[in-house]
Amino acid sequence: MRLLERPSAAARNRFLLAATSQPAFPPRTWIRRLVRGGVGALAWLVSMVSVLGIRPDWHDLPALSLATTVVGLLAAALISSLLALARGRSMVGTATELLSVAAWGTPLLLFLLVAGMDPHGPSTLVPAPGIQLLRAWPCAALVTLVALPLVGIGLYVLRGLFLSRPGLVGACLGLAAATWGHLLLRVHCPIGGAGHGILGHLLPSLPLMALGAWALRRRR
Amino acid sequence: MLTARMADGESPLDRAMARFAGGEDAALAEVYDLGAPAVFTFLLRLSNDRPLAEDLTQETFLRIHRARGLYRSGASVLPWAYTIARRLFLDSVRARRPEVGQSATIDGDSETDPAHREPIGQMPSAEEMLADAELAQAVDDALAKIPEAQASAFRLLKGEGLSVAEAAAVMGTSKGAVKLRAHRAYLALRGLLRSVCVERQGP
Repeated sequence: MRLLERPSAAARNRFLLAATSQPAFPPRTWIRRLVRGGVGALAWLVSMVSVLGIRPDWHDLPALSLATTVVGLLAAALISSLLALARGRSMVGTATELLSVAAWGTPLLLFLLVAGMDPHGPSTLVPAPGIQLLRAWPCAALVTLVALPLVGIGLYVLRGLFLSRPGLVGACLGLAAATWGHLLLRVHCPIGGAGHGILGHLLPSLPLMALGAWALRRRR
Repeated sequence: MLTARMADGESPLDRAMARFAGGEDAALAEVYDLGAPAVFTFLLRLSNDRPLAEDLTQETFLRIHRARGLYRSGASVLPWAYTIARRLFLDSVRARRPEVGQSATIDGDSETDPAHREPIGQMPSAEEMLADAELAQAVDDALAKIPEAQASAFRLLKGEGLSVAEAAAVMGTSKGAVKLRAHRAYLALRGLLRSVCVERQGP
């Protein structure tokens, strides 16, 4: 037999009194946030594409490797975004197993994608390895610039949600934002080479994952 | 108070929360009445401190109140409440670490007051109730001696009746880790309770 203890009637009254004086998120807050956040993120990405422009060698790129890269990045960005922003069956976020796979497996898959699939055509710039490293930093800065507002939008959507693994959700959020930035840079950056892709486009995922994890853990 | 799930998977608590989240303010009292006993019992078992358990229960439901607009219809409220409650308890332990273990007294009057206990199922005899209470106390004492993560896994699975997935969500870990912690708790409890069981069986 299981016995349940009851809080006192005074505690119940205290709670109901406290609840009347504390603000609560109004009904449909989540939907409104998702719509606002989605529109904001889309507007930000579209405006960045229009500001940065499409890479000049776009039409020279081989269709298969370009499609594989874009679809792979798009899938990674969408899946990590959905996992980071899901409330889960118990309102405490996505299951730990899924978050762990996303946070640790996705960067590895992206590394393999970037290292193994380097779409470049006749007019693509492929500098010497040393130069690739030097030219990677502006791209890394751009990925971070594109991703930071997206991390902010994710934090806005998740505000007030009690997550059982905020660090993992934050890492997933940072990864999603960085992957959207990576995708945008793939469309913009005309520099080829796996080293450039890894250092300039993929590496910023790590600090952004750390930032997302820190921000969500700190907020709790 | 029954927290068992209905046939469609939603408990009365989940339904009350859905109504509250949908804008029916009056449903908040129902959410509290349906959920507070389970959360309070969970916190009382964890803390062995009735005033603290009441405070943390209140804070848990205030968090749920604040998050009403974020609630997903159909989501399980109890694992959500346990997650918040457990986190609040751990935070309170960290905040007053030197006192932990010394506040293990429960108000004797309230503990024996029938108004504070709610039986589930058919009413047993007084002897059975006494034996159950003694055994429950022995289990609580034994659980207090093993690591908190193992004790919580055991309580959530066996005490609160959550599924492994729900317990994993509450504890912020994987299903495998919950099973492992609960198994370790079983092993530890078996050793710690052996003497109690021998006493009960008699010579």
